[in-house]
Amino acid sequence: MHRTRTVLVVATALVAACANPDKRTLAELHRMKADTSDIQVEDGLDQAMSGYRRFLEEAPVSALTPEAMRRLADLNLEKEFGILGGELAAAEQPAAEMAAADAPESGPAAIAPFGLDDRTALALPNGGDASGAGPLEAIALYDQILETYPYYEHNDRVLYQKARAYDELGRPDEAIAVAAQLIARYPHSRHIDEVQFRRAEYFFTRRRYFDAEEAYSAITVRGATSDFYELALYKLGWTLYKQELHEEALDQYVALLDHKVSTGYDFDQSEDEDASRRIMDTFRVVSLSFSSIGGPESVEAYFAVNGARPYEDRVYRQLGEFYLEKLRYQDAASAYEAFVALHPRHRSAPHFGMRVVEIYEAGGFPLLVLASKKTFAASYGLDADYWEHFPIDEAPEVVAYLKGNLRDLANHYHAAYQDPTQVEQKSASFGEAEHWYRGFLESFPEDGEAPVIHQQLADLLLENEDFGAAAREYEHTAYLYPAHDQAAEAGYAAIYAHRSHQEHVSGEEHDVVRQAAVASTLRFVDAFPAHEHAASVLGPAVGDLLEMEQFVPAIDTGRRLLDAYPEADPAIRRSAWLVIGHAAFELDDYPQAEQAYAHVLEMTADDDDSHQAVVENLAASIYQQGERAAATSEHRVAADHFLRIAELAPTSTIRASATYDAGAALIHLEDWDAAVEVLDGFREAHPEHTLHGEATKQLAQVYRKQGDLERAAVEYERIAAEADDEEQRREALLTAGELYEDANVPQRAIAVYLGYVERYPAPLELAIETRFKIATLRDATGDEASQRAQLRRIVELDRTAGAERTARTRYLAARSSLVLTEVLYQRFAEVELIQPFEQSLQKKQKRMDAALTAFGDLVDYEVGEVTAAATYYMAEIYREFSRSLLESERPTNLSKVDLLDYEGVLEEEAFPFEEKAIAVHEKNLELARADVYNRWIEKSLAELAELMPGRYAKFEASSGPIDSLNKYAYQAPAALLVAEPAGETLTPIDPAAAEFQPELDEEAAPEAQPPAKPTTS
Amino acid sequence: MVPPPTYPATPLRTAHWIGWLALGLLCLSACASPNAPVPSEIEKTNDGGFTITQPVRVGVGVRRDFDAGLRLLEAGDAERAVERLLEVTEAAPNIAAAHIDLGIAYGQLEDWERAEASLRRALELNPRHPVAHNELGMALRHQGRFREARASYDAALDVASGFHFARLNLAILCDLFLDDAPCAIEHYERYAEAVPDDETVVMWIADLRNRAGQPAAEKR
Repeated sequence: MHRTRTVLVVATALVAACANPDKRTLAELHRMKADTSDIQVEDGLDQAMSGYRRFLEEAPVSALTPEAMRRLADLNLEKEFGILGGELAAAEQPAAEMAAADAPESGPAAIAPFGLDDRTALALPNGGDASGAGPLEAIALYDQILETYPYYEHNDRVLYQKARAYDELGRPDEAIAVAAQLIARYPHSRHIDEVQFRRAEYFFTRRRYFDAEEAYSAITVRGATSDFYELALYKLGWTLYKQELHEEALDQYVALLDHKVSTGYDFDQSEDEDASRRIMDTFRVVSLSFSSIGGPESVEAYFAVNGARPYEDRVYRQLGEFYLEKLRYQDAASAYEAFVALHPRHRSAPHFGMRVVEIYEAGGFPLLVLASKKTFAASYGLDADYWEHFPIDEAPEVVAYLKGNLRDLANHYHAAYQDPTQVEQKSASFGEAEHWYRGFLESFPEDGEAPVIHQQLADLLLENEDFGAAAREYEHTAYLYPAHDQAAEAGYAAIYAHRSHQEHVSGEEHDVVRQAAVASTLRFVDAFPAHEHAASVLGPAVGDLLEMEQFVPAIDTGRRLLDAYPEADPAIRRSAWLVIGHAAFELDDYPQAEQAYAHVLEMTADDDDSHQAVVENLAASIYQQGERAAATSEHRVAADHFLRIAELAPTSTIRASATYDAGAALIHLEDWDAAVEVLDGFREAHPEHTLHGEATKQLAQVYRKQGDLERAAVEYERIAAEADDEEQRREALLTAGELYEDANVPQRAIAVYLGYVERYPAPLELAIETRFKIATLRDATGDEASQRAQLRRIVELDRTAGAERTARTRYLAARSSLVLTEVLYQRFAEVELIQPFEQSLQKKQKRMDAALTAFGDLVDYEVGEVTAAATYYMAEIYREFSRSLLESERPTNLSKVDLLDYEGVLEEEAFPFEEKAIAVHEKNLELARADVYNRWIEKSLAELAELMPGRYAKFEASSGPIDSLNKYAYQAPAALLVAEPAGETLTPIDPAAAEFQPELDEEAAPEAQPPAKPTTS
Repeated sequence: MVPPPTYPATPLRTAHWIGWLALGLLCLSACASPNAPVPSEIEKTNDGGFTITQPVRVGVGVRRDFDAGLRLLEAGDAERAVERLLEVTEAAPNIAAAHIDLGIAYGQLEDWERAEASLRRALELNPRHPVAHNELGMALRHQGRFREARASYDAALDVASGFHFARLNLAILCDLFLDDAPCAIEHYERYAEAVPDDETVVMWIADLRNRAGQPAAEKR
């Protein structure tokens, strides 16, 4: 610190009487320069002085004498020092140079008591020596006036000038003594303020602060009416300050500031540099004072006691800056913080907050910087209460600072979170970083930096493995801001976050996350289709859709991948095809599935582990198409599909079944040749296949359908030999026999049936049935002995069947017995009654009895058909016997008369047998009425018609065939008789005839319609 | 009020429609009638007669087969008659007369089951055909299904009570197979009224009455 000493020489061209120092301020004086150019004035002064001297020498003493003396003295001073009486030379030093708080001896430079500094050599403007005779003469003159004319009206001025002269001569003590006389004698002089001020300054410079205080106070008590009021307050403050009466000093400074405020002074807009500097100095000394009495707390206390001031913020600011200059960072920040604490809604509050941060930054206190930034951000975030009182757009600098502040805080904590040396604070750092990132985004959601900040937030969350939240924020970054450079990477990162999340969850949550990952992927690809990783993220999404059984979206997305990214990694494209295949299969869209699997197969190396599985899938897709076609009876299509499998998926396990099914489809189509080819091929290619037997059956069916019954039979024999199932073998053997029968290969049929009854004696019913077939075939082939042997075996088996006997075995045994018994009728019938009569009669009677007994036994079977047959045969036995009697050989030795008698006896003998025959045949009619009807009954009826025509020769009448497709006309026979006109010659009318009138048309020529014959006659 | 047009409005569809119309006309003249049933009508006369018409039109081939089948039937060659008549019923399946004749042919071959099937088909086409009912009654009787046979004769007589064939057959059924003398007597007598010249039946009636202990009825 140094003090600038400046000597100002104040010169004036005004005459002393006109001087009016009141109109000048110290500051103005400070700027003025001495006028040293007007030599003529000096000449004029000399002349004036000569004039006054002559007046005093020549004129008698009068009232004008003291006036002339005073003027002569004033002119002396003027000539000597270039100043007019009453003009003040002032020296003022900048407050800044005086205000060293640590230099209590310092202070504002005092104004020289009457314009001169006591330690400065006085120099005249014209370079002459100021300590000449002129001032002394002037002093002598002033003293003479005071002595001679004690009541001279301008004696206060005389004293003033005298003091000034001493001052000019560098004799300040004498000048102050004269000033004291002036004050004592003329307290109301118009020079009193100046004199008091100069006196105060005199004391101040001599550290006589108590005296200075008294002198300054003499001015300040006069109030604002004094031109020296402000200066006096200012210096009084200093004076008190020098005495360490800080609070008293503050009173003066506050009074000064209050005064300025009352005059409308604008602290910010002042154009008066001196005033502005003085105000600044005032604030600074205020700061000094408060610093001395306790810092910010004392400020608060002061204004609490003395009332609030509108410039309090400036006080705090100055205090803060004061401390800062002193490198007292904490105190500086506290000053600002104290104000903010008291006035959080003050317009300057956010700026103070900002300043606090700057102070800590300047001081190199990172933790405090951080804390202050947090405080600031918390206090002035855009959602803070502060902004309800001030429009945000009117404080762009605060908003900008806030933005930077939030970003800095977030970045700081993010970095701290990442710092491996701060592991213990990691969790807290994460919370802080997230908080401030979100704070930024809440306050500046549309700011240009928002996407970057948002992505940083997402990065933070991802680093913290908060994957779900990270994904959401990445998606927000990517999709909810106007286009920006980081959007695509954010979108990609969102997918990454979802996928990471997926790896850390399970169960239902896993599905939810996976769904979100897929949605995010689709969104990403929609938004950034050209992204280098688009295909590689889309691929897994396609797979996920499949796993989540969202088949249609899986296909659509897979297709999209394939269409949009033809250059994608082949593995990705292959997976997409595979998904399409699986999904299409699930949707029963088998053609699409086939297409997809075919693509997959093309892209799969033969030695790839999955190759066979793909082949199987391809085959299954084709197979399903075949099954579907078969279900809708499109058998040709079905067969084609089934056969395609052998071509397109030859190694598939389903190939064999497909070939078999192709054969079945061809059978449906009745494409026998193709069916045989396919099924034969199947059997040859797959001899161990489970459907081998079925194929044989199908082949047998085909041959059967083709009419190649013998080959069909061969196939069934094959089945009987190869089938695992005994029941199948048994049935196949029977079928083979039937087919041989149908094929009219009776010997093979017999052989097969014989094989059957040998292998399968049980079940008995089926064995007996088969034996019956054998017997029938034997009969057809003329092997009667074998036939009868089988029939006897049947009868025997039925007879001894016990619990196994069934209605069917009984029926077949009855039929067999009937056949065996019919021989007895033949044997009876073939016996003719010839001579010798008795001998042949006995033979025939014997055979008749045997036959009657045998047929009578057949009734025991209680089989309607056989009973009717037995009845018929028994009736016929009687009739045959009757007829044999009547037709018996007549003895040759009888006369005519005897012969007539003989024949009469024969008739008598024969008639009862005929009657018996009729009665037995009628038994069959009774059977018919009991709902048993068969050919034996019809035969009995026919016999009865012959035996009793009047009773039984009654036959139904048919009206005969209709001979027209379009029309049939019937006219009753009675009507025809009535309608016959008399005299006409007509064909005799058959009573049972109907007249037919066929319609004639162009194609059908009329033909004569013979009347139907009556059937009753 | 002018009725709306019954043909499609667009030229293309009109042409299409005309084409089908032309094709349909060709079919009517040269082809067998379509499978749709052709309605039959029965017209009765006061003297117990009736006329059944079924206005079908068939091609020359069908008619030729029908005529040939008829001739074979009348000549006793039922087996070949069946072959020709089957061709007719396959080509023109909705003509009742062809099915009746086919049934009669099967009857001659004593293939009563097929006879029954053909006659039932005829009755599907014309449920009121007395001839079909009568022939069916005989086919059923030959299978021992006497009650069904009776119902069939009754059906014939419901349609045409003067149809003497059915009357006679019903009487014989009652006489021989149902052992229902009153029934037999009644229907023999009604038959005798329709066919007064059939003296055989008069004797049957007398025999029946005698065996049943009934006095001879006064001649109506």
